[in-house]
Amino acid sequence: VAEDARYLVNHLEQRLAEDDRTTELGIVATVQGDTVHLRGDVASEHRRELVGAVAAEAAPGYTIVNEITVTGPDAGVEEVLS
Amino acid sequence: VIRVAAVGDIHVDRDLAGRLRASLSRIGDEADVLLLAGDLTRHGTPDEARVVAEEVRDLPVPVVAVLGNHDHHSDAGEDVARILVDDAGVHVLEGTSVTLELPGGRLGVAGAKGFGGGFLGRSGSEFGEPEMKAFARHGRETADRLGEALRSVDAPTVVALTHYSPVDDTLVGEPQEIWAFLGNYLLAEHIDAAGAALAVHGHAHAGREKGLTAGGVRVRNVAQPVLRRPYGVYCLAAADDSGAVGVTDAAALARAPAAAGPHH
Repeated sequence: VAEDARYLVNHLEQRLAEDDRTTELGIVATVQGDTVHLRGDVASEHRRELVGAVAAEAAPGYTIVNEITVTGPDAGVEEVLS
Repeated sequence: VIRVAAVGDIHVDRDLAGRLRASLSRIGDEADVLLLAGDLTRHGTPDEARVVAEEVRDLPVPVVAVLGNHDHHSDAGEDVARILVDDAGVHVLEGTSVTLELPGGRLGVAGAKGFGGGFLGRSGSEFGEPEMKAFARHGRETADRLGEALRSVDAPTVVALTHYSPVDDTLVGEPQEIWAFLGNYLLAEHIDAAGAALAVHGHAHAGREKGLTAGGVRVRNVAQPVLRRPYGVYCLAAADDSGAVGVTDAAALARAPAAAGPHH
């Protein structure tokens, strides 16, 4: 794991805000060991997947647990816990 | 009664094309005007602006908008505004106002993007490094533009439309450390001075819908993630000769008979 874990949350949240594929300013990342949990709301499943993909690029070596909620017409009612 | 529908932070791109339009299918029955409180696009590109224009073109009510920070991200804010005006007839405001003759009476809408800067006792100043001065100055200048727009309106009932918040009431839920980036009290000062009937803003996705200025003007944060419905509808009692107005929220509207009369 190359990234200094103490600063990973800030770098990750900043990347999700600034990367043109995501531009999401409201995502909260938390780090536990080598796992990153992502939480927040996005408007479509496609955007949820992009947030997960960009986070994986920004935090190589970490396991990304994408708990982003999709709101609006695409919202699902069930959450799959893995 | 004038029924004002409002939503902000719709962040449209090709990925979501058609969704907003579908959510507006009943707007003509539920409201007399639609306000868009900024962040209409994701990256502020002309292409995204064309998608927004397609979403709101030919609605049965007039559409009034301000731009948000996302709409400036590609340094093409003027292009975004022009496309909304030319392609969809949207009234795009920045330090300007529009007066609309609606079935419930004449409504003035004064708008400006607004900016950060902070709130009473916790606000930035035009002091120190050029970057800090520029930040504080932009907040003051866009607030002053809102003030000019509010003073220029010739209508008994006036609504202030911004992207950034004039008050911190509607930011509760956002981390307090970032409130100074989410709004500016100078907006509220102008709103109070003008005696607006309602102030509508977006930007604070994790905030809450309802707030109040120090002068008692109702504030509504209509950011789509806050509303969790297609738009809010706020009913303004037509102003009497004294200029006094009342605000009724959408829940009360649902119990009231729909206003008769043609829609624009």
